[in-house]
Amino acid sequence: MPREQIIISTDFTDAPGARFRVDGDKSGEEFYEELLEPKFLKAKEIGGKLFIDLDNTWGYASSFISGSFGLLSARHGAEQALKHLKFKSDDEPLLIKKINDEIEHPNKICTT
Amino acid sequence: MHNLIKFTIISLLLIAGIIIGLFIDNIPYITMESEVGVGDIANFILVLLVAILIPVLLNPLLDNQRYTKDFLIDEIRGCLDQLKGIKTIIDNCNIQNQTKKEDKRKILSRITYFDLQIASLIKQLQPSFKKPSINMRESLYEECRDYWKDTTGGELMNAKFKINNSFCKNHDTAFLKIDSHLKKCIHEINHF
Repeated sequence: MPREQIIISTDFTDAPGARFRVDGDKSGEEFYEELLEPKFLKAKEIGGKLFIDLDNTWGYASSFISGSFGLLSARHGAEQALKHLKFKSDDEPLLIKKINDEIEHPNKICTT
Repeated sequence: MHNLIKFTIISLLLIAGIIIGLFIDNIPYITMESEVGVGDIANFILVLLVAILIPVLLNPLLDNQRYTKDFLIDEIRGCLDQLKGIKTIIDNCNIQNQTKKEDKRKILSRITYFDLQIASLIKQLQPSFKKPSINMRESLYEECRDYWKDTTGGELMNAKFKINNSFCKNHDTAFLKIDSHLKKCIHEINHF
């Protein structure tokens, strides 16, 4: 299956930040606008998957996950997001489940 | 194939029993007092069985379960220590009225490690107590997720944010919730 890929630690940062751009550098919103949405749309267009490697960072705040994946779900729908995203997280195995939970029930801040 | 072998062994044992019985009947080395009743024989066999079954079969089984439970409880203690470490960093930042970028990174990486510990605990509960631990495994994930959301879902990672009394108070609530849940798990594991 054709696929796009993002390795967060090298393509974005090894220290993901907060939710919005105004909160500081490397926010979830910045990640969403610069990488996640464009690559997600490409993967959707070719009917493939967007592979996201979450390893080798200092860890993810819930605000970052909500500001990026929650926003993606709010804008493009949970079903589409889950269909076209594939994650790898050896450092934090429960993170994938947490992200899927966020996609299925995006934070209210993302939907407004 | 396995059943055939089992059947053959049982049949051979039965035949051997009958032959030995016939021999003992014909060559009466073992004689039985006529006053000994069936109840006495049954009692004797029961005592023999209990004497063999408890030390040979039951004790190792109970010992193994205790060892597994102690091991899981140690794992939970490790999780509790990790949580205390996170609380110490947060409390120190508040007391010193200073929150450096490194402190936030430390908090995040410790939460990541805590997550790893919980994931490992969930994995280890499965082989030994698959059925009785179904609810515990699910609740461990939920509590871990809620703690992560409560601690890192707000302003913590905002560049200008400094840990203050209000943040500490909210963290204390989240900390106590997961701390008491983990301690409850220790009691539940002891009752598996």
